[in-house]
Amino acid sequence: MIYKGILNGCSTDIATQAGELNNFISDNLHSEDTVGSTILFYSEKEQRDALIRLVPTESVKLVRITRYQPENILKALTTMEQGEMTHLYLFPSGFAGSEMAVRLAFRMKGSSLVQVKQIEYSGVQLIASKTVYANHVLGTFKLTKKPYCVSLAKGSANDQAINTRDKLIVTEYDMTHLHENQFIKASKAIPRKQASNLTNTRFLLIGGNGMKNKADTQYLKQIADTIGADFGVSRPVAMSGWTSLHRQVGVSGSMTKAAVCIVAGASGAAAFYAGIEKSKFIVAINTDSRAPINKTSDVAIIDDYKAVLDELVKVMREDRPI
Amino acid sequence: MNILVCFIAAPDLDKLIEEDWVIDKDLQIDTSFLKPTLNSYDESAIEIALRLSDASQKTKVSINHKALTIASTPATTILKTLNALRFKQVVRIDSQDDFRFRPGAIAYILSQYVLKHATQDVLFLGRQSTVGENAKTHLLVAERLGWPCITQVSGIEVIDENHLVVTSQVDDGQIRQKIQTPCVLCIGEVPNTFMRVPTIKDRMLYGKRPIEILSTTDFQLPDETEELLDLKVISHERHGIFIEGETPEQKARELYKMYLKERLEKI
Amino acid sequence: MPLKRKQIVEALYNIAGKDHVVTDEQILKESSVDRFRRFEAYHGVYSLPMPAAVVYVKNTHDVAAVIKFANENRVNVVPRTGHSATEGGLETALENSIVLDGSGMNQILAIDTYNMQATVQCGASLQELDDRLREQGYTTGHSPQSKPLAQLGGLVATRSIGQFSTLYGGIEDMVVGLEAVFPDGGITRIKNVPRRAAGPDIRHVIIGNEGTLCFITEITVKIYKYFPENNQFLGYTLDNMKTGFEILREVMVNGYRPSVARLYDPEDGAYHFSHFAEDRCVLIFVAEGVKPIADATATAIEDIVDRHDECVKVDPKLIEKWFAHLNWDPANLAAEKVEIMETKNVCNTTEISANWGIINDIYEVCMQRVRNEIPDLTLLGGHSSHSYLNGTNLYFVYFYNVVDCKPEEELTKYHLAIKKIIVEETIKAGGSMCHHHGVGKHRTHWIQKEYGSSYYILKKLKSAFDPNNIMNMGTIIPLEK
Ligand SMILES: Cc1cc2nc3c(=O)[nH]c(=O)nc-3n(C[C@H](O)[C@H](O)[C@H](O)COP(=O)(O)OP(=O)(O)OC[C@H]3O[C@@H](n4cnc5c(N)ncnc54)[C@H](O)[C@@H]3O)c2cc1C
Ligand SMILES: Cc1cc2nc3c(=O)[nH]c(=O)nc-3n(C[C@H](O)[C@H](O)[C@H](O)COP(=O)(O)OP(=O)(O)OC[C@H]3O[C@@H](n4cnc5c(N)ncnc54)[C@H](O)[C@@H]3O)c2cc1C
Repeated sequence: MIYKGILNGCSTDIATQAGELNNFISDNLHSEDTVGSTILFYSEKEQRDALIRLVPTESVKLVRITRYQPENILKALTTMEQGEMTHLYLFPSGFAGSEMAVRLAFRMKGSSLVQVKQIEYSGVQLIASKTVYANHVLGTFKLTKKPYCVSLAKGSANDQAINTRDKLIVTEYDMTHLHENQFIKASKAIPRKQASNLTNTRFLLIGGNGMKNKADTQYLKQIADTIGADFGVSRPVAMSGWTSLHRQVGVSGSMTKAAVCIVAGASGAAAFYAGIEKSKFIVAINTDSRAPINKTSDVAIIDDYKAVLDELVKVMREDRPI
Repeated sequence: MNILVCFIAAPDLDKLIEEDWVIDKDLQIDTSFLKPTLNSYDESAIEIALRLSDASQKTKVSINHKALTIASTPATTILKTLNALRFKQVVRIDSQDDFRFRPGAIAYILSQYVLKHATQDVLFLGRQSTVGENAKTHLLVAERLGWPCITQVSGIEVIDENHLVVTSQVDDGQIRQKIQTPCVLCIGEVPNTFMRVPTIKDRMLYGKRPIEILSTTDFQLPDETEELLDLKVISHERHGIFIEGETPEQKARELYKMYLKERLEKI
Repeated sequence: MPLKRKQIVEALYNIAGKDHVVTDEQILKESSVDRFRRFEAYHGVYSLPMPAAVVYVKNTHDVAAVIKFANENRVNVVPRTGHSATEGGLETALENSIVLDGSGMNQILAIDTYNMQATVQCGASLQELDDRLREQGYTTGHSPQSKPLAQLGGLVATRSIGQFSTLYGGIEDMVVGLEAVFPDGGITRIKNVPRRAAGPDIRHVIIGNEGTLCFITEITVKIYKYFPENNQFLGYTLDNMKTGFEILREVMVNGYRPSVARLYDPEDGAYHFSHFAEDRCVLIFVAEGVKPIADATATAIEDIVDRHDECVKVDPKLIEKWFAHLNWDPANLAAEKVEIMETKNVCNTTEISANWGIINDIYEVCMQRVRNEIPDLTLLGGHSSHSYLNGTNLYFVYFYNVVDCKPEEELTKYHLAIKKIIVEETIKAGGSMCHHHGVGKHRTHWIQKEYGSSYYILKKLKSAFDPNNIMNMGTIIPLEK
């Protein structure tokens, strides 16, 4: 089988994208007869070499563009891939990846699935699984038409180092001539102030709806700072505007894998839990002994989160300077 | 400007309890005992459309907003609510098919509807339905119509009859773009856009306006290129050991000594 | 000279220990109100006098010491357990009140399955007690929607009632004996016997006192055998509330005892049942108990309903599942708060009761008047959820958008204005203005009308047991200005 990974080197999350791809390839595409390569879009010349080092396959097509605009990338990909015998296109889990997977499949008359956890190729069809029903259920699907375009499930990158290859085969393309799609009259990128640091955090404190308001949310953030944890929130907190969206944890936010994750005042809905299920150790603090989070944690405290965390800060202070 | 908001009512899956998660031989999960609700993406899409309409006096661009759903259950209460919120028109395309995992079919029907009524300038769709989590419909509609699409939209301003300024999330931040219609806008996470509640008066005055009902048999559906084979309930259970203690202090102490200290030292 | 705040706090430190006395400003604010003023509280607006402290008592002796101190020094005491009160019962009407919180007295002291009774402390959670009983095949039979929130002290103090009341009765039918502390600091115990004719039933001085006569420290309730496997669920849709009341009446007067008998009007029904009852009333029954009784009850009810052509049966599973998801837990409360803040759409309720002969008239006149007189309503409906041989209750439910007013004006503009209509119409027709939430502090204007000439007994109780006016002033009996 021939597969291609597609990376967006214009985005600052490129390392995560590459990590996801690398991990997925080593878990799913190890049989003898698979041949893989990468197509990497980028715009900054200076970053070229650093980007190449992230590539998880032995050969890479480097495509230089002015801006990663979905309509343009689609045009570029369909032109480049015309007549190629690629069976499978792999896209990272981000917004761009899922968008590309679906639209590319449509244009190349193939089939697509987004947020895929695992695949298996039988020669005639691709079997792929992903979560459905708000993360309560794992669905297995059959993709019938080639090429198969899939985007990976969020949070599938692990810390596995990418095998830097010396004998990388690099082909270069210049597509800087591609013009902005007509429908865009003007555009301005607003980069995220600080890159979301939740995905790779080792120690995470999450506040849920049990924090009653913005002030308490800020208070919990302070506690997180004091104990040296990163601070995340559940969706209702982000949606009420008590904190910025990038702190949201869960299927529609960050997928984390902390060594220690403390969840205060969140009930543990499946769509939320997906964002912390890779944690090594989960602590729940909730006033309700029947909240689902208790069962899906390693240890649970039934009490007011503020009371417990205030005490935890004290206990930690006694033990070491924090 | 003609805006078509496409939405789907589905059960609130957070309401299901453990014993409800049973998959039958037809790969169905019975949720018939839950009343249908809107997920937050669709709620945001609807509320944003209403706010654009509210703002039309200021922008001097009149907004003609329609809401449309393809559904097997009547979900009449929701449709009436949208009527009462004064959507200019509310349409239900009736279908007995199982569309849970058929975004291709939904996108086909939507695009056919738009082509037939040839008056829409902008389509709003929520990012994904709760049940299928397909996250494909908006993209496939755009492809079928040959319209551009912006995903993860979080803000929309109307500039004039044919132009919008759209803010959307991208993988490393946000982007603000001035764009020309027609286009498909997929609504993502938008804080502070809970759907408003219509008054009884408005429900009496407008809620009972007729809902246009079409049928999917009017459409020749394409074959799907993806097919569901199996569903399995995921268990997330862990030890769930309760830390006992008289006071928060005792519990915090136990938590730290027994469980956190060593783990945190390794970080 | 009333005591200064500092003196009160000092005294409480001495009685209960510093660790059990809380003076944190935010906690005091939250302790000055209950759910009645939640819209204001969500906005951080607290307009009532601040309590001096919240004291978390550990045992009956502490309770006695605190109350004795308060009595001697004329300090107002507001008893509290689960903090789920809805009618202002927990509001601190006077400056420097002591909030006497019994939630830490949460032990289940005894479960006696031979004599079929369970004894608990006032802060025992009903959910925990009932879960524990069910594990052993028993139940309290008490299941208010606030079961995951409320505690036994408050449940007894408010004369609460649960969803299965038509079979098991209200809390007053369940309480066997009690321990309570009266304002002079005296501890009284009423023994647990099946029945007695030794003068008036003094349990009723304590049950329903809403913290205005004494502090309840211990409760013994009956327990029942629990046979969930025999439960039979029945559900119907129908056109008219009037027909529904008729059916409820027929079921009751013929002596059937379903545990649940509920009738929803179309508006309230749509809120719960839009997936199967569109613009229709909904009638629900559950028959429970040993199998022959459960079966016979269900069959008989089906026969009664069948005689009314407008009733259409629905899949019983819909009803069964609905019950499994009905109760309010802390997650509901948290979610409700977010929704209210975002949409400014608030839900409130008022519950009354009346005899069969007038219930439908009260329903109709209240619905009509509220709809016509109150602005910005988004839902107005009602249901009957507790039926008796001679009548039933009505639980009015209303949602409104808070428009053009400050958080602290919300109650006067909407909730109280609606309550006024419902209470006045009910009393005028001859019903009771409070079915199960208690009087609290906002139905006190009508208490004399509610009681008529028997108000004398109520007043006398207050002056006899609380001569210094220290127990939850402003509750049940209005404050004298
Ligand atoms: C398609 C889709 C995607 C979604 N994506 C996400 C996502 O990415 N992330 C996400 O979080 N959600 C997501 N959700 C929403 C999710 O289903 C839940 O609604 C949400 O996670 C609930 O948040 P919560 O647990 O904070 O709030 P709640 O469910 O309201 O729980 C609040 C909890 O706080 C407890 N509590 C209250 N007061 C206190 C106190 N003083 N001390 C301790 N505990 C207290 C309560 O007991 C309760 O358990 C998604 C939903 C859908 C449909
Ligand atoms: C979502 C929700 C649903 C509800 N559903 C129901 C229902 O189905 N049926 C029903 O009957 N009620 C219901 N209620 C009302 C409320 O739960 C009950 O009134 C309950 O009995 C209060 O118990 P609590 O422990 O929370 O008492 P609290 O709220 O702490 O106190 C209630 C009243 O009792 C007094 N009190 C408390 N403890 C003592 C004590 N130890 N001694 C003397 N006085 C005391 C207080 O001063 C106050 O006046 C509901 C409330 C909510 C919020």
